[in-house]
Amino acid sequence: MSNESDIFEQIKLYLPKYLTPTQTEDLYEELKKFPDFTTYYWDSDEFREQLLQGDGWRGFVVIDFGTGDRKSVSGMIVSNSCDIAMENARYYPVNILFAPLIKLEGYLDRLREAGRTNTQIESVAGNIRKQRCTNIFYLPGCPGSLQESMILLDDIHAHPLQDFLGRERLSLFTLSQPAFYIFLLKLSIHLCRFREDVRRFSQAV
Amino acid sequence: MSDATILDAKNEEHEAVETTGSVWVRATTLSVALSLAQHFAPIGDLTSSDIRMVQTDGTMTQAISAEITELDIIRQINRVFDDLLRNQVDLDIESKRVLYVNRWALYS
Repeated sequence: MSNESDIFEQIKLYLPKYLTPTQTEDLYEELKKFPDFTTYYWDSDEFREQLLQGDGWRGFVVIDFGTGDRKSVSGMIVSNSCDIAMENARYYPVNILFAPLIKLEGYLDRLREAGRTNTQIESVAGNIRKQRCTNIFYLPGCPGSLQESMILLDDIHAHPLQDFLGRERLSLFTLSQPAFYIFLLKLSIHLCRFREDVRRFSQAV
Repeated sequence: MSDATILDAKNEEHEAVETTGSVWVRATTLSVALSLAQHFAPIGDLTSSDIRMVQTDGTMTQAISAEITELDIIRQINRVFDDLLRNQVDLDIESKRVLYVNRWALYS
């Protein structure tokens, strides 16, 4: 087996194993549309009660580091699904990592108030909507549950799982398969740099 | 989308990987593999897989399947990863300042 095909075989292990030919074709077509694809959400109630990575939920509490103020917010789960699965036995406190949702229109309004021109604002909005800002994950509106929003990948908070489960909470959305992949890629690019240009070893003599 | 359109799209991809950019494709494939490997637990056995490698030898003498395979999915993930890396931009300083100064109030 060639090196390339060996790499493909290795990567294949991380793709869903249960895709039908139609689902495979749909996934291909949606990924192919990036950055202009629109099917960000999975329109199903199948996992509405589960906490999955990339899910949007109302009911998180964010704490301001400077003031200590608390605020109930909507947020997107950043933790991987397995680490916060409710059916798994817990022998230690678990936190859910989440990023608060920010309405895009609210942000654009603030830019207008700050005196930014329409051209500048449209440029900012366009880059966000096309997922070009590495520290921002864009979320289009989801009818009935979400206005056009975004999260900041450097604004991640922790909420104790048991506390979150005991609160009044509301599921807002579940990412579709292609949107989930794009989220993972952006999260990886933002948090992990294999090429950081730092020599972490002794100089050769 | 019709099969013909899909085949056209695949042909374009196959032609693309015949170019000198194939080295970059392999490099980013490895990058994607490393990225994905951080998020998933390995599952399944390799022997049960039936991935079909589509020929891109450059001779174009072998038929190209119109069926979408996992390899095509991987290529698309690779393309998205490449797109994200190549086209990344930062907010300008003032837009970033407005965002972070108002962050608390903007939480929904």
